[in-house]
Amino acid sequence: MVVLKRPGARSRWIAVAAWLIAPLLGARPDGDGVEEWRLKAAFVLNFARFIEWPGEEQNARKEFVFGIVGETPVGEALEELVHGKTVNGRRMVVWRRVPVAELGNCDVIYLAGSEQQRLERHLERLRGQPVLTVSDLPGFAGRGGMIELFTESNRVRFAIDVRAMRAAGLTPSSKLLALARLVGE
Amino acid sequence: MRVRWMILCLAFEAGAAGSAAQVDLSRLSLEELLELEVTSAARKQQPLAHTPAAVYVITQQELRRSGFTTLAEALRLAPGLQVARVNSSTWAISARGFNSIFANKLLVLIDGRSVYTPLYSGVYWELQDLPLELIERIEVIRGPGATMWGANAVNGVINVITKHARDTQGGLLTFGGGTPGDAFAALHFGGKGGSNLSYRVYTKFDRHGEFLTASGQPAGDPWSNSRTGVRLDWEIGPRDALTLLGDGVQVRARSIALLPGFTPPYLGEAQLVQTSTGGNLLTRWTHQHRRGASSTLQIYYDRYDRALRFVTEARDTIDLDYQHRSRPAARHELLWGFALRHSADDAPPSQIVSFTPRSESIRLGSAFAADEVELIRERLWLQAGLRLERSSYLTLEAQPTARILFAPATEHHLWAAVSRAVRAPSRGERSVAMLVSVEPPAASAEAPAPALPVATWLFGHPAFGPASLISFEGGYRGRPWRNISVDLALFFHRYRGLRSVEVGLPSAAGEPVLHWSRRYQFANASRGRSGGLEAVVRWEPRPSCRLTGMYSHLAYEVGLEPSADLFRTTSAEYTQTPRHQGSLRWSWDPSRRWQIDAALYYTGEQRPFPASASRPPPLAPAWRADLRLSWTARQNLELSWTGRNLLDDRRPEFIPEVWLRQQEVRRGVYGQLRWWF
Repeated sequence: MVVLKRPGARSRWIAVAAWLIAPLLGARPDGDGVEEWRLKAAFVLNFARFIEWPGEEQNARKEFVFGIVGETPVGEALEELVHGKTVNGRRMVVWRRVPVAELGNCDVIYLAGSEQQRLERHLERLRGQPVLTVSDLPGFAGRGGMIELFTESNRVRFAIDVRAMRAAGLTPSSKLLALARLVGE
Repeated sequence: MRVRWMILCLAFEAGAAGSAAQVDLSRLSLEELLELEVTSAARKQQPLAHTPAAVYVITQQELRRSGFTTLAEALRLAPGLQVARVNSSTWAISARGFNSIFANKLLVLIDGRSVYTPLYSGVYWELQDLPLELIERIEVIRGPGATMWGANAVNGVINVITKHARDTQGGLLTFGGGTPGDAFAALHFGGKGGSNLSYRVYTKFDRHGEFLTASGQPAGDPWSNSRTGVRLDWEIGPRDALTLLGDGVQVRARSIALLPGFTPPYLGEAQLVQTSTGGNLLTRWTHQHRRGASSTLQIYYDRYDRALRFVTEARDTIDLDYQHRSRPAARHELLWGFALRHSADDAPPSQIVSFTPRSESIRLGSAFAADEVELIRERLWLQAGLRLERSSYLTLEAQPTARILFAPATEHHLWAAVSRAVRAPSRGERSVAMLVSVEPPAASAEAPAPALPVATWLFGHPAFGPASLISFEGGYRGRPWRNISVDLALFFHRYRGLRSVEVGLPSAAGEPVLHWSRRYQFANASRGRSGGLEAVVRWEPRPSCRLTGMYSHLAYEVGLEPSADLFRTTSAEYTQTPRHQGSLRWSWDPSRRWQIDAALYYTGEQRPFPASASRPPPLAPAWRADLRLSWTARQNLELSWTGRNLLDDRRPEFIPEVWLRQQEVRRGVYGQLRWWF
């Protein structure tokens, strides 16, 4: 006799069984998973590695500053991620709650979702300065922002507005451009 | 943006929240990052500003930079907590007053496991000393959290959350030592078994030097602690995650106690040796349903044997906790769950303390539901919840809360809350028989003739009831000016059914010698009020420089219920809490390799209540200064030097209410090495 089971019930049963035998097996169930904000922080870190800032020589002694504007767990994740690491010999630090007046003293600015309404003002303040702007606000690249992070089929992707980036004197590597979705070309 | 329900959800999803995997994510290429799948956004950590409660989060970075080496000491980093080290291995810790070595209104959880003992509703801090490197953060909630956390979350909740195994890959060796007689070593190592399974093991040992007596002699109270544990985190699939963790601990502590006896001198110093062992195993399963709902099932078993000469306790606890979170309608988030606990103890009698019956099992069951609704988009949120709880010591008790959060502008949040919380009676308050003191024959004027020693016994009351709290709180959290953030909380608490004692008439007794026996018995005839303010201001002028100032003020009043028999009753809520407390901490990175941290702590005058002629005078206001210097010699090697209590050679922090001598903490300096491999 064939017993039909709802697929949901079966997978739940498997999960229970897996729970019980978990310590015994080194099983490899499919599907990776990382929290979105941690993954986004890792992307932000990588952008620093694949973009060239003007005047790297003069800056060589200074810290490389990631500034976080608004409340987001990405800042915390990034702080842990960059701890004790360098880029082009510069020590990376994260400045959470960066004051608006200090935006221009950062190398990278991450704008949290809470900044939706003040986006234009922030970008206006940064116009022409060699500061990379990154955000996951929808339509960020295209509204004056440089790199927009977005989710597509459960993965994080990024879009680059090359014109905005070049206007600020930043040079993205060809590898970065090859992996990005380009906006405003 | 959703409001956080008192961070409860985070405690259960401890692994999901917080720090990133240093080894993993930062070493992955862009291509690899693009391939990684994102887990459900429902687990996303909400910012602290969105919690309508008085909460402070001690981060791993603060822990590391504070130079503290024990969990209990690290709680000094939070505002509104009173942390006093009574002797080398004993702490008195409470929130919003009522501090005592038996402080009983605080709920302490380590990875969701309750660590207070139902014997007296307090915490054996020396048994909870996790390696600080493995702690992701400590959430400190002042004020009642009973709706979310259950009984005993009256004056506060301390929620210690350890790192996800994924975040402790590779090895870390820490060791060091210094004065006065401190030495420690800790090692942890993490690895992977497949792409979704990570684990770590740790072991640590530490030894803590002696305090000094009031006359400057060594106090004979060194202690040592060894601990070993494992953690395993497994993402079973995109929707299921499993965590398995366990610890074993062994503590050996010496101390000198003042114990009463029936023969002269009637109060004698006794050398005590505490030997304790404990272990626990916890498993937690989180399932993500479709449409953003999730459920969590947690089961743990905990056992410890704590043997002191006059109080011995062995306890087995098994606990099951289920929690479900969903969004039944737009703008609503519903949370409900239930918990069951069975706790059985064995407390053999000694000459000074005994419990009747010697062994007892306590059962506890509770259920809660809470809803959060966004009344005005991005502006106004309301939370309302209720927990019903019943246990062997508690008839059905309702613990409701209502909280409101208002965001007049993006970086400004105002909140207010009204809650009720209940403290369940402890086993001691129901069934203890304790010899408090023996007075020499002629010393007591009120004793009847003939002149015999007068023994005072304290008894539990078989019908001792719960104490309850109604609390009104409010606060502001925000960034009023550029790089300055402010967190301000005001509260007013009203307690009913607090502990009192009723004094009986002396009667003659023949054992072990002929004496008068005076009988005190616990009752619930006290009540109290307290009010205060807690403030945290943080100024971050540069990313490499941070200044944090904290201040807390507390005023309280404890008295008897109008119905109490004034001739026979006195309040028995010991409290020794300063009116003013504050700290100033400064963190600075002068260069890429150096870190400097300086901290100044202030504790106002401590006046014990109820006052007693036999106690030493109140403790004068005291300052404490700590300084830490750290040098990152190589990317994986850090050396640091820490000075503690730099201002005084020695200084008492607390007047113990019973048994213990007043002892003094010493200045100390230690060095530490950390090596990541």
